[in-house]
Amino acid sequence: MSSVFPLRFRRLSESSLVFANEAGQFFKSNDRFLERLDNEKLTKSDQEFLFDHAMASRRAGDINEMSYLHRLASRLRPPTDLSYVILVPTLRCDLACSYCQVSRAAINAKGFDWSDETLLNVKSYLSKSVSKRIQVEFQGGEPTLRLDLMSQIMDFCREHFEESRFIICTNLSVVNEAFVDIISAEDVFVSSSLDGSPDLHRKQRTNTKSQTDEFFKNFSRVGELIGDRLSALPTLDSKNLPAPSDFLDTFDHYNMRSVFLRPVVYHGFARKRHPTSKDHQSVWQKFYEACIYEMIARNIGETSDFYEEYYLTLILKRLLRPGEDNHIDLRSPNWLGYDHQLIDYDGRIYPSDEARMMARTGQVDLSIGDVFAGLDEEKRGALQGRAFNALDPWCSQCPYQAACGSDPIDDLARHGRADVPKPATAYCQKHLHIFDFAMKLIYSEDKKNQHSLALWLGLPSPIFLGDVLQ
Amino acid sequence: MKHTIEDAQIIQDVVDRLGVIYPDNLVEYDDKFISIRNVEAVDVPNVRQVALDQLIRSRYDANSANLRNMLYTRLLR
Repeated sequence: MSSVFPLRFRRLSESSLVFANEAGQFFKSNDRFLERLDNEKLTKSDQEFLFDHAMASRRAGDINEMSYLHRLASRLRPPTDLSYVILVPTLRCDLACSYCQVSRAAINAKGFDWSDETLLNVKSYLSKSVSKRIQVEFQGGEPTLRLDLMSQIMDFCREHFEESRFIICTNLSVVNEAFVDIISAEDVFVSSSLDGSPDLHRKQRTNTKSQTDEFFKNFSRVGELIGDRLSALPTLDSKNLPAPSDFLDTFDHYNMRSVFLRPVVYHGFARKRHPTSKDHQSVWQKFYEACIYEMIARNIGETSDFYEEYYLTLILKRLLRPGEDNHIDLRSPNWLGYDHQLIDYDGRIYPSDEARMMARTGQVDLSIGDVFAGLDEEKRGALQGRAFNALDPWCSQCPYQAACGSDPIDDLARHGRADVPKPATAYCQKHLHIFDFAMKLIYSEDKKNQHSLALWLGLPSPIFLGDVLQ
Repeated sequence: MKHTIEDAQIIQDVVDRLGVIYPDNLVEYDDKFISIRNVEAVDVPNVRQVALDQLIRSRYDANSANLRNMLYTRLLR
């Protein structure tokens, strides 16, 4: 054998380790194999396993090397044209959630909406920057305060692009007939916030009983009108977590079984009002795993209408399928400000929502231009230095690097700099936990776990997906 | 904990990384041993394992760096 493609390893337990290469192929083994690898004394059976799994080549340029390079290349996505735009037609909002990430403006504040000139320039910028397909996410503030601006953008996109899709992120505090008219179109989706039971939702978000009742009434009404075009995201406070079963019951009540479990994010207002939100990782991790096991238990016997956690499913796909790289928080290279941009209420362009939050709270201005003068290529270029996790000295020793991502803006927001050693970053700690947990499920011999894994990945059930080298 | 090792560059890499992993402990090298000080007795087996794993990781990484570079060169050719 000429060479084993470089492996990285991580301990899953006292006696088992996961090994992976940079192309994303992985297997489980033990300390005896690690010793043989380290001492360059692989057995014939080790070599056969590695060659049969295309993780080693017998000579330069053979089929295994070509296969490895192809897999490696398929993990490296080049920068692409703008196709996902977050638009903020107004920063005003009618709620004042304590963990609002954006520092919204008061409902009657002046100067926080697009002007006629800004609207005109947003359209002009989109027509120059987007080629065929566009997905527009309306954010705020509360974007439904300016239904007129949203309607004009929708009409413009439908006319100018081959394919358009719109997501309105709204607190659903008001649902009037004009809003109902807008969301009746099949290319319009609604994303709202649902933190759990009415009591929990009121404590964290709506404050009063009347506002809470109004939200749940509106949420039910929109669900009846547009079905699965309505989705809901929870934001959970690690100091006040619900019981997993109660939490899932609330989502199940609205026929929502795909849930994206998110703790309070350390941005914007949350940075000031929830200062300890970055210190509750272990509490959150226990809650996260308990929710997944509750989902797995509820999935027994299900074949189609099953529970899943959105991000865990994404991580499983990233581990098992090269090319699953559309999520901005989980891809590498993560080219900032290319396919994904945000246009703020004042026309400034940011590479992501989090970058806008940092500018708004006065941490650092990461804008990359505006719709009036266009992109500042120099500023955008300066953001790419940490886009590629394979170049990071810590990631390049991690078995999950090929499936993981890079989020320098999150590192900047939390730590004040983008060159913090990865193990010290919240991003790395969060992802190591979920990847380890995903590996635990992949290598589980429990049929219940295997059944849910198969459901989440769209594969026949039960299924055992992990290779093992004894 | 102590473990005998030899290559200076690899040792420095291991010491640097252990310093990041254990920011509250003093990590030293004295020409023969890497020492991690002020480790609670109950944590010693785990810390020893992490340090040994890091030594192997850094050594293997150094030994396979040329192959990794060569593969990237072929990919980008």
